[in-house]
Parts: sequence; C-alpha cells; structure tokens
Amino acid sequence: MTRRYGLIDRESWQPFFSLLLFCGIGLLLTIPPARYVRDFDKIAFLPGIHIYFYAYALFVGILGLNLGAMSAARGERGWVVIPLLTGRILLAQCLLLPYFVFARALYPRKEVAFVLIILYTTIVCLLCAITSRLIEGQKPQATPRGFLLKYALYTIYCVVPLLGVPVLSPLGAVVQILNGEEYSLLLVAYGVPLVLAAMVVLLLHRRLRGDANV
Amino acid sequence: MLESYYSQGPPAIEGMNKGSQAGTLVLFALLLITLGAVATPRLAVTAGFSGRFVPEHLAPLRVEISNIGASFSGTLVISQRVGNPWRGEAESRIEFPLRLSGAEELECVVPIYDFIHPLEVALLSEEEKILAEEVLELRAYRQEEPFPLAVGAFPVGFDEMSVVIDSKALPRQWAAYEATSSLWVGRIAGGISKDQGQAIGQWVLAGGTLVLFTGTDFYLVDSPILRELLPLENPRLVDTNGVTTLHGETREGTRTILTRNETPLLLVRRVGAGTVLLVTASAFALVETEFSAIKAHVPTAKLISFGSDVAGLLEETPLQRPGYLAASLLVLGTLTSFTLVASRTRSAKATLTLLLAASGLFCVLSGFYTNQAKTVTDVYFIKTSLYLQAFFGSNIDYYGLFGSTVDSSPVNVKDPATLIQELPRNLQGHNFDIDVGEGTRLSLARGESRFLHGFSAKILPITVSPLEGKKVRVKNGLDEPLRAALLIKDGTAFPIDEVRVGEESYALRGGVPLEDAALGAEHFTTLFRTLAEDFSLAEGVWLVGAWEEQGVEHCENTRVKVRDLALVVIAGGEA
Repeated sequence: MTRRYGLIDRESWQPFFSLLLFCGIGLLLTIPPARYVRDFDKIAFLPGIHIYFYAYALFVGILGLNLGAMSAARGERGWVVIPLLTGRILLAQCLLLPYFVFARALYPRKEVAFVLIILYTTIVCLLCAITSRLIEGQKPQATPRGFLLKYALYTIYCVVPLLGVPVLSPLGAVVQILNGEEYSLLLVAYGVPLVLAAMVVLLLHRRLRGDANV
Repeated sequence: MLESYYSQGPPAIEGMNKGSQAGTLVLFALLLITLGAVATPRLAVTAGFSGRFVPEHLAPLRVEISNIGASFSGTLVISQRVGNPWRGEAESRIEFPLRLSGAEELECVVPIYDFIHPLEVALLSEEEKILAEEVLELRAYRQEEPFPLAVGAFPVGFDEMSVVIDSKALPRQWAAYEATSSLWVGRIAGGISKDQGQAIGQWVLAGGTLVLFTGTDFYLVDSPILRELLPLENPRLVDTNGVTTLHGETREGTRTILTRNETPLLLVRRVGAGTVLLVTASAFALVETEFSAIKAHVPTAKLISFGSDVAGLLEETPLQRPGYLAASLLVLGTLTSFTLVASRTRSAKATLTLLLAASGLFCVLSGFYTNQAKTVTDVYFIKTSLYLQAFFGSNIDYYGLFGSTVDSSPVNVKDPATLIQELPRNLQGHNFDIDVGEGTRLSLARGESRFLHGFSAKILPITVSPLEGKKVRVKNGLDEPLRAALLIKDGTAFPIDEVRVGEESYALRGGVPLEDAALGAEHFTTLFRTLAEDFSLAEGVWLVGAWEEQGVEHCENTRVKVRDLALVVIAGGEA
C-alpha cells in the first residue's frame, strides 16, 4: 500500500498560520500612518522601512524550517520529499497572495519586483526546508539540538551578510529586488540560495538513500 | 638646418629658397589656423544689468551667436554649480533648443543661484558636441539685494545710487526685472520698443515700480503702452515760466505727492500690484533736493507672492494610501478563513480547494479595494497660477512639491515659465540639481518639500466690459467655466456662482466690501486675500475668477498627483 502525503491537514496548519499572522502585522505596519503632508514626519513609524517585505522574507524562511521539521516528524522519505516541500511552500505563497494584491497599493508599479521576490523567497524557503529536513533526520520529534542548530544557521544567514554584503541575506535581497538594483547583484541574490539549495539537496539525497537502505 | 647654417656660414641662393619655402609653409599654416577660427561658432555672453545680478534671483542673459553659417540647429546650455562642500552642492542646467538662420542675438531670462561659481554657457551641435563655450565670472558683479535700475541719461551723480543701462539693454521679458527694486526711465534718445514697453507694463502689473521722468523728454519715450501706465490721460506738455512739464487729466486713484510752484511734480498711481511714479519734468530740469524728495517716495517693487499659501496648501494635502481598517479586515478575514478551513475540514483535497478559493476571494476583494484612489503617490505637486490681465498680461506661478516614497523620485514640471528653485541654506542630504529643458526635472527624496516659482506672460481669452446700470458682460473663451468668481466694481465685490463659457451678462447683486469677499472654496479665498493685499482692486471694474484641476501624471516610474489652482484677475475694458 502506498502512503499518501497531504500538503496541509489539521495537524500541520500552524506554521502557515504564523506566516499569515506575522506578514499581516507587517502589512499593517507598512501603511504610512500620516493622513496629511503636515504629519508625515511627526507620526512616522519606522519611516521608509519595508516592514512587510522584511516580515515576509524572515517568516517564509521560518516556515521552511518548520516544514522541514514537519516532514521529518511525519517520516516522509525518498525523492517525494522535495515536491512535497515545494508544494507546501507554493501553497503558503498562494495564501499570501491577497496581501500582495493589497501591497500593490503601497508599492505601485512594483509588480515585477513582487514576482521576483516571491520566486526568491520560494527558493530560500525550499533551502531552509531541506536544510531543516537534513538536520532533523528521521526523528519523530524535533530535538532541541536540531532546533538550536537550524535556527542558529538561519539567524547567521539572515543577519551576518547585512553587515557587509546585504544581498546575500534574504532581508537584504528582497529590498535590493524591490529597489530594482543591477542585474549582477540580483544574480548573486538568486545564485546564493540556489547553489546552497543544490548542495543541501545532494546531501539530503545521500541521507535519504542511506535512510532507505536502513 | 640651423646646424648647417652655423657650420657653413651664411646660406647662398639655395638657402634663401629654402627660407622662402619655410615662410610659405608658415603662412599656409597661419591661413589654416585663421580659416579654422573663422569657421568656429562664436559666443558673446552678457548676464544681468551691466553685469549686475542678485544671487538666487532671475537675471537677463544675452547671447550673441555668430559664425554659424546659413542655418544652425543645436542647443544652448547654461549651467552653474551652486554651493560648496560645507553648504552642500547642486547644479543648475538650462537648455534652449536653437534653430537659427544666421547670426543672432538671443535674450533669455535665467536664474543665477550663486556668485562664487561662474555661469557656463555652451553651444552644442545636434550631436551634443561643444562648438563654443564661454565662462562668465560673476563674483565682482553681485548685488546683495534688489537694486534700482536706471535707463537712459540722467544728471551727473545719479549713477551712484543705481545700475545704469542703455535703452537697448532693456529686457523684452518681464521676468528679467525680478531682481530690480525700481526702474527709473530718464532721457532715452532711441525710445523704447513695443516689446520692452510691454515687459515694463507686465512687470508693473505684477508688482514692479516705475519712475518715469517726462517733461521735455516725454515724447522720446511716449508710446500707447506707456500711456496705459501713466497717471495722466491725454498727456500734453505745458511751458510754465520756461519749465516744460507734463499735464493732463489725472486718472482715478492718482495722488499728487510733490509739487513745484503749485504745479504737480510727482504723481503716483497704483497699477495692479505695482506703482507708477510720474515726474512731470525732465530729469535734467530737477534740482538735487527734488531728486532726493522723489527718491524718498519710491516704493520697492514687490511681486505678488503665493509662496506661503502654496506651502500652507501643501501641508494640508491629504496623503493617498490604503486604510488601516481595510488592511485589518483583510488580515483578520484571511486568518479566520484559514483557521476554519484548516482545522475543521477533514479531507486534504477539500482543505486545499477551500483554502485556494478563500485566497482567490480575498485577492479579488483586495484588488477592488486598492484602486487608484487608495494607491500611494510618490509626489504631491501643487501649482498656483495667477493670471493678471489689464492692458498687459502677466502670469505668476508658484509650485510646491512633496516626495512621499523612499526612492528619489524624478519629477518633470511641464511649464513654459521661467522657473527658479527656492534653495535652502543647507543643501546637504538632498539632491537639488535642476535640469530645465522641455520641462523642469528635479528629484525629491522621501519627506522632502521643494518650492519653485516662475513668471511668464500668458493671455487668457477672457474680456470684461461694464454695461449700463448694474450689469457687466463677460466673454469667457476658455474651454471650462470659472467655478468661482467675483465681479468687483469700485471696491465692492459681487459674487457670481459661475462664469459660463461664451458671452453673457451678469447683474451686480449682493455686493460686499472687498475685504469681506469670499471666492468660493476656502483655498481660493485665501489666495484672493493674499492677492488683494498687494493688488489695487479698489478702482474700476475687475473680474476675479478661479478654477481647479486635479489629476495623476507619471514621470518615468514616479506617480505624481497634481493639483492645479488658477486665479484670474481681469480688468474691465471698454463696453
């Protein structure tokens, strides 16, 4: 009998909910509070900061970490893990679409950047999910050591590049894409998670093969 | 050659031939150099009045272009750096497209922002290659503040108090007078051309001060245009005890300020926002004390300014953005529907289908809500235009811009007026570069306000004629009616709901004193009150009307919300 894996069910909806909640808060905070020009500087909250996109980039990565752990806990194995994770990530992106439609009013004429950002965060999320799956292995429950390791790695990935090469960090990359920076920079932005994801997939492949032999 | 000369002694005939060949070569080279110089276009540039100018004000610029052949197409570029490393730096660049048939003298009006940096004038070919260039050093010609300008001949000693120019140097565009405090017209042998007279009239209407010396010199400057400005009607010269003075019937509102032997010497009349002072005698027939007395009565020119009104209107501009309530409802709706579907539905396929359906529904709702009126605008742009029309037409525009988004937003101010940007003391932190070509391009940062003003001479197709009894006929040749209007007769304002397109008579009913008059909406009334402070509306018949246009324009990727407020002030003519 073949085991059927679902994209989402009653046990696995919390990571999606967190993403929707925090991105929603980010969206609300991105709306400029002033109603008149005279109040523009007086009541500005985090002026000029793309809070929605920071929240989106950050929590999509965290969703990836959760999805990887969830996949490990459910004992999903074989190559099917990758399409399953991708499917879940795409579902999360679909759930966020109403926010993006709303965000168009905050960032007019940035539709192309939106598409590029969604594509980029999908890659980052997949990277995080596979890494998380790799760290968690085949354990039915997430271990504190695995939890600490993957969140430490994710924090380093998000924060350290901001000190020197922001485009290497998801937080920096989304802003660079939004600002329409040079193609070379954008290639670096996409290239880094793609290469990392490919490397982790190879590692995962070996591990999955090893798991299958057990 | 030199070596052989010294070693072999003086050359013979052969040597002389060689010498003549070398001489021919030198001559040929000189000829080539001369020909090259002849073929190169030349620029002769003068700025200001006898070079004088006031920084951050407009000044006339005359450019004589020669050696350009039978026809020429290219661009004249006037550029100047502004500021210093401490104050911050910016650059002003103005381009005038040229299509000339032979040598020509061009007159334009340009802002001079700084006196430290020179004004660079370059003639570019169609391929943008520099053909000729001239650099004007400005440091020595700076005036601290607007100065009196004298044209023509005056008695000795007069030169000390003002900048004196020849009548040929009188500008043909009224904006050129922006940095002058008064214009004194003395004995002008060559007279004043129609364009020059019109520019003087336009400037006076907008707030300029004209001091006109007449007497025996009256007919040298007499013209229909100047007669419109005079405080006297039907002027004629009268010889009294050997002194020739100008006489005539005084116009309404004219005051006699000085007299000589019971004959009026100095008459003053308000024309629009400006003042005309008529000295009935020639400048050469006055004594020093009379000169001093006249000087004491000359007010400083003050052009009508909507600067503070535009700043106020810009401050009160509502910012366009989506609302918090709608965003909160969207987030709550998305979370609730997701929680309900994901936690209550048993089938994985049904969960997926319902989630996608809910997402689609919220996408549609979100799309409907975030329409054009809810979209964040990059730049807010307020323009106030004041059209003054009496015998002359002057147009004063004030602009206020505000940048609301993170990126530096390029804006194109499409207006033919001569523009000047109001620069703050500190130029650090923002980009104050201004590029004037087919439009005026500048960049705004987030939260930055920028102000500009400009002058031109547009005439609107509106005429006003007083009729018998309490009626006035207005002919409105505009495409749109004037939404708010006042008809003013002898200091009493009569409100009119609308001045319709075409010709129509309006009865003067429900008059109120001028100071209590309201012109439709509050912002128009504010502008009207600013105007009425400086503009003489107390005599004769005037129409003051207003209209407003709003729209969204795009400059590259910048979304600009434009609000255009116009005020027209038209003097009543003959019935």
